[in-house]
Parts: sequence; C-alpha cells; structure tokens
Amino acid sequence: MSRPGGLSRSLAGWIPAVGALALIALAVAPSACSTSTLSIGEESADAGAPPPLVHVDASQADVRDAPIGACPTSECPAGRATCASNPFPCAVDFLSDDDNCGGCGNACPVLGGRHASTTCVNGTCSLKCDATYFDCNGRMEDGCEVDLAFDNENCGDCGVVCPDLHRCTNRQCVCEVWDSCGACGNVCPPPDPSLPTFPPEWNADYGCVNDLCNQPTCHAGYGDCNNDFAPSGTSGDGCETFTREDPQHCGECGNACAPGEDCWDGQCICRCGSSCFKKLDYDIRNCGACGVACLGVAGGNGEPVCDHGVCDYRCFGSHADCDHDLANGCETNILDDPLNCGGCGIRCDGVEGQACVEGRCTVEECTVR
Amino acid sequence: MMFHRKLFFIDVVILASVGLPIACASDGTSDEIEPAPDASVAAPDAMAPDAAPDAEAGTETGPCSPSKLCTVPSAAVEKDVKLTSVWGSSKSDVWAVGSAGTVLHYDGAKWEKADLAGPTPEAGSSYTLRSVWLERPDDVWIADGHGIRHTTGWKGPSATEWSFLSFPTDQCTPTSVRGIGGTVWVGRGLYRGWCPWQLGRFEGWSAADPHTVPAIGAANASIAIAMPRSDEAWASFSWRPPMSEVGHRVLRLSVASGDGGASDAATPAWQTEEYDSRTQRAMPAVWGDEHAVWLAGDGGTLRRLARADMQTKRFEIVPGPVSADLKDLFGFGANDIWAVGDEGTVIHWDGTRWTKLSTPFDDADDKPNLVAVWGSSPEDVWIVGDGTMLHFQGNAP
Repeated sequence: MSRPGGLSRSLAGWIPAVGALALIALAVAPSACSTSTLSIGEESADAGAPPPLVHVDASQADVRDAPIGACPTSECPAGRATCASNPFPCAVDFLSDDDNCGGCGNACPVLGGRHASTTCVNGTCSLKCDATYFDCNGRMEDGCEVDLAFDNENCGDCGVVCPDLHRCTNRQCVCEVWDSCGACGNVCPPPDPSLPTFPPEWNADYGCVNDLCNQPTCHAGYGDCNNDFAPSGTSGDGCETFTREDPQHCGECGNACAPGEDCWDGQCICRCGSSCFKKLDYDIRNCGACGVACLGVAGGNGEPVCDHGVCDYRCFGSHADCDHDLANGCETNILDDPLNCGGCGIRCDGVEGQACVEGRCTVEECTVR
Repeated sequence: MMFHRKLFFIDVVILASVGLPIACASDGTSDEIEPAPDASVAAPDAMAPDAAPDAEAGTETGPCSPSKLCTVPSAAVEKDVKLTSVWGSSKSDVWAVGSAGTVLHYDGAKWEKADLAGPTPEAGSSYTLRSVWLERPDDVWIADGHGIRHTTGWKGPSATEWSFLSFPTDQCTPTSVRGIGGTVWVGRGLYRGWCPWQLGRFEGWSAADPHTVPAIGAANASIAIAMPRSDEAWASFSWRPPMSEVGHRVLRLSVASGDGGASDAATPAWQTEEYDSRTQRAMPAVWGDEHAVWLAGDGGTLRRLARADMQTKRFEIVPGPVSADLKDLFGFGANDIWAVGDEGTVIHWDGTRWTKLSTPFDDADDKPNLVAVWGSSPEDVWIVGDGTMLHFQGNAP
C-alpha cells in the first residue's frame, strides 16, 4: 500500500542530514537542553528517519554564549500561530490560511454567484476566479464576469474578439459553418453531374479532401484498406472496410486489435470495456483482469489505484494512512501533526506543546554552556 | 456451470537472465540471526556486506541482510512486475507468478521466465496471475486472469504445455489456489459484479466441474485459502471499504464428522463453519498446520487458533512487532513461521514471539511491498513482492 503521501517520500532525501545537524547540536548542549531534548523527533519502532527541525526566530538567541544549539520549543515560528480552527499547534499560516488570513478568525468571504471565491494571499483576501472565468474589467464587485472559454468578445483572453461566422468554443474561435471547405463559410456546391457515380456498396461519395471541394472520398466510418479505390475505374470494391467494427482495421486501416479484443466504435477493447493488452495494468475498473475494481474510500485524502495490475491505495500529497486502516482513508496530515511529523509515528515531544510545522518539529536556538 | 477447458502449446522464450551471480560478501562464519532483544525493533544494519552469508551452491544471490535474506538478481524480476505468489514442490521446483502474465520457474540452479504470448487470449495476456500452487512437479495450478492455468510440469521454457480453465470475463476472478493431494480449493472474488461461486473444490485437474460453496458475501472479496490437511481448508475473506462495512470473515471447510472421506473417498461431504477472527481488518494471509491456524493482515494484525482451542471457534489475538500491512504467512511447525508484508516487512515467529527481521531493503528510501512467502524447508525460504525476490538459506531465524 502506498501509505505515505508524496511529500513524505520527497522529504526522505534531506531529512536525515538536517536532523543529524540538529541532533549533533543537542548532543553538545546537554545542560542547555535538558534530557528531554534528546527525544526530538523520537520515532516509533516502525517509523522512518527523524524529521528535521524548524527554527523559530533566531534573534532570541543570546549570541554572547557560543556555540549556538537548537532546542525544542513550544513557541511558533514567525508567521505561524495556533488558532481554534485547527487542532494542531502552530498549524496556521496567517499568510495563506483562508480561515485565518492575517489573524485568527479572519476568514476570507465566500462570494455567491460571481464565478469567484476569495483566497488568502500574503495575509490578504484576494479574488480567485472559478475555472475558465476571469476578472476582465478589474472590478471586484462583479466578481469574475467573463467566461474566457465561451465569450465571443473575450475568447481565451480578455479583449480577443472572434471574427464573423466564428464562435468561441473552449477558448478557441471556431468556424460555425460545419461543412466549410478550405475557408470558413466556403460551402462546396453540389458535385458536377458529369462526375461518375459510385456503386452503393463502395461506401463512397464526393466531398472535401485537403481543402478541395468535390473530391472522391469514403463515407465516414469506412476505409479503402486494400487501396483499390479508383474513382474513374470500374473495378475494385471502393471503401470496403467498416473501420468502426473491423478488428483488423479498427479506427483506421491497418490498426489491428490484439487477440481477444473487439473493435467497437473504432476502439480496440475487451468486452469489459478496457483495452485488454494495453491498459489492464492501470485501469482501476479492470485491474489485472476484466471487472477487477480497485476499491477504497472516496474523499479520504487518497484514492484507489491500479498499480501494474495490482490494486493499491495512494495517499494524496502530505496525507498518510498512519493508522493502517483504510476505513478512514489517509487520515493524517504529516505536515502539522506532532504525533506524525514528516512521517507516521515520528513524534514531536521534545517539550510539552512542541509543534510540527511543515513536517518538522519546532526548535529554537539556544546557547551551550 | 459452463466452463471451457483447452489444451494448447506455447512457444516460450527465455527472457530471464541467467547471468553470473552477484555473490554475497561474507565471513561465512555464523548462521545466527542478529540478536533482537526487543521484538518490536528491527535490526538496522541491513546490507552490511561482511555480515552476509555465502550463497550456497546452486543459488545465485545478491546483497544479503544479516538475517540471511538475500535478493535474487538472477531471477531477473522486472521492476514493474508485481510478483503475487510463490510455491513449489521441492527445493528444485519453485514457481513464482505475478502481473503482466509473469510466470517464473526455478530448477534449483536458475530462474527462467515463460513468455506466455500466444495466439489466443488464454495463451497469454497482460492479466495478473494471483496465485500458484503445486504439490508435485506434474500438477501445477495458477490463478491466471479470468481462469486457471495448469501444466504437467516445467519442461523447459519452450516445451512447457499449458491447459486452461476459462471462467467468463464478466464474472469474478480467481484469487487463490491451494490444495493437498487430489483436492484443490479455488477462491474467486475481486469482481465488481456477479460471482456465481466464491469457493470451489476440484478433485484433480481432469475432474468435472467443482463442488462449490454458497457465496458468503459480496463478490468483490479478496479470498485467501490455506489447506493444512487433506480434510480441512480455511478461507479468509477480506473486503475493502466502501463496498462493505464487514471487513473480514473466515471459514473452516472440513470433511464432515463421521464421513472422514472413507465412505466415498471421491466425493466426501464437506461442511462449512464460520469462525471469529476478532477483527474487521483485511486479513489476506492464512496458514495452518497440525498445531494451529494463523491469520495476518492490515496494520500488522495477527491471529492464531490453536488446535486445542478449535472448539471455541474464536481466534486468539497475538501481538506483533510491526504496523505494516501483512500479506502472507508460511511456516514449518509451531516454532518457525514467517510473515511478509508492505514496506519490505518480514517477521518471524519462534514459538514465543514475533520478531522483525532485517532485509536488504532496510536502508532503501522506497521499500518494496512483499506479498508472498513459501519454503521447501526451514533452511530454504523464498519471498516475492513488487519487482523483487528474496531467498533465505540457513538455519531457522
């Protein structure tokens, strides 16, 4: 099971080095830091390396007494605070916490019906637009008033106007005349009656090919896979292959499905709905075999995954399944939990109230006597 | 019950590397495992070159831990392959299977990999093979994707003959195969839809359709089976949330009292009894012998039911030294049992307590999950997992 979150893994490389430095400092400062200080980053039997240490404001140190060591502290580092909205000490960052922006209890307001919300940036609540919306007029009172994905006057960016016969679709100005050929609005005239007609079984007609009108072409879904389509000739079978269902020419001529796969709507698939031979390693609904569904709680800061044909559960970001019980998903945020700081089982208990900040136990500089 | 059984022949390409071994540097002086005064603490000094034992003749090993668990680079397990099961009939007939249609065989000297690619879906695919069992070299059963793959023995990579029992692809898949003698139990689950039966008993490969046990829960169970005796099997059913609040159930399947198989040896009457595992956690590991039956699973959970306490139908809680999820159990008696699990976990029972063993992965940032263990003897134990294989050769830890 992929227990630790991504952060936990990324920390692995540098935790030991920083932690070692701190512990060395503690080792040479026995009197300044009581015996309890040696338990900084104490880990349970199954835990990984001890976490590195976060320093609080260095200005508090008495520089007359050298060398300077690091001692555990219950003081929060600069910019950090303990607020009621979070159960852990020093877990609130006033610069970025939407519930405590600039101070405890200063929640950024919720904007209704304006395609926007507010978020805490550098300690101030700022406008944050939904998905494709944007604040083109710069007026906060009407929120993010423009949908850049579908606004003909602001298509993809503020002020970008779509030309005539075009409509803004997914941030792009797209020609509205679906049967244009070569240029938007250039609709092909009916084929010249003098052109030869094709037998119905050829599945062919005249159409737009390479921006040119009234060229011989196959009907949609058909292909000339034996390359004998000669519009002026009388032999051959035209566009003989129905590429939406032919397992030897699935989707296009020459695209053969693997043994056991069917061609359905131009896609090679197993009957279970997945590509038998290409995707069973990663399909969480068909993991290792058709219908084998990878399960796990939704909304538990993690998700079930199919990892090379075997189901697993992967935690998101800094979350981890420290209690090894998937019934509650990845319940632990190892960034601010003093009992699981930087990794499951790594405890911040150097002093009472020692906090975990950004996955590290808090310390302050102290002098060695 | 409709099944489709085919016999076909497959050209097998030798993919496995049989290159020179990376010998363990060793002083070769000690067969003792590192002392573990605290059962809850692993020995941290894995990968110590001078602490590793010499590889025995015929076995190619890589770096070893002080507990004599050595990687097996000669098996050429691809990093992306998740080995799921290992079993054998002797020291020189060991099989391992895994994802992406992987089948490996060890003949006592070298590992080889069968390339099951072939002209039919049954011949090979990217299906995950989830279990292998054999008691004799000529009767090998493998849970393969949607069916059971069988061979009468490894005859070399290019000459191995396979037959196949297909289940429909819109039904549950085999997850475990275990047997004794001519009786083989198959567990089926994992499927999100319909499962016609979850436990089936085959009286030999050539026999007709299996005798089945009525399903006891949702189709998506993961089912592990152990067969300690010819008249007894255990099935451990585990479910994952959110499909079921019930996480685990365990069944004992046994020849009905008074029948004993004597009255009609071909089709003895089997009965099913539910036992209390005293946990709701997933327990994918089950193993037993004449002394006790063990379960192991999520969070390092361990349970034991001694034969003497069988009438209680209630497993005993046994403390363990790890919190990692355990995936498999295998043993050689009351005092020599192994369990393996996630994050490179290997623990051993000496009759009194479980002890965590060092492995060659102890210093690795990303320890592979270990999912199966089997041994031909206390001195020859194989462990497989995610892209890796370990071999223990020595005295019991």
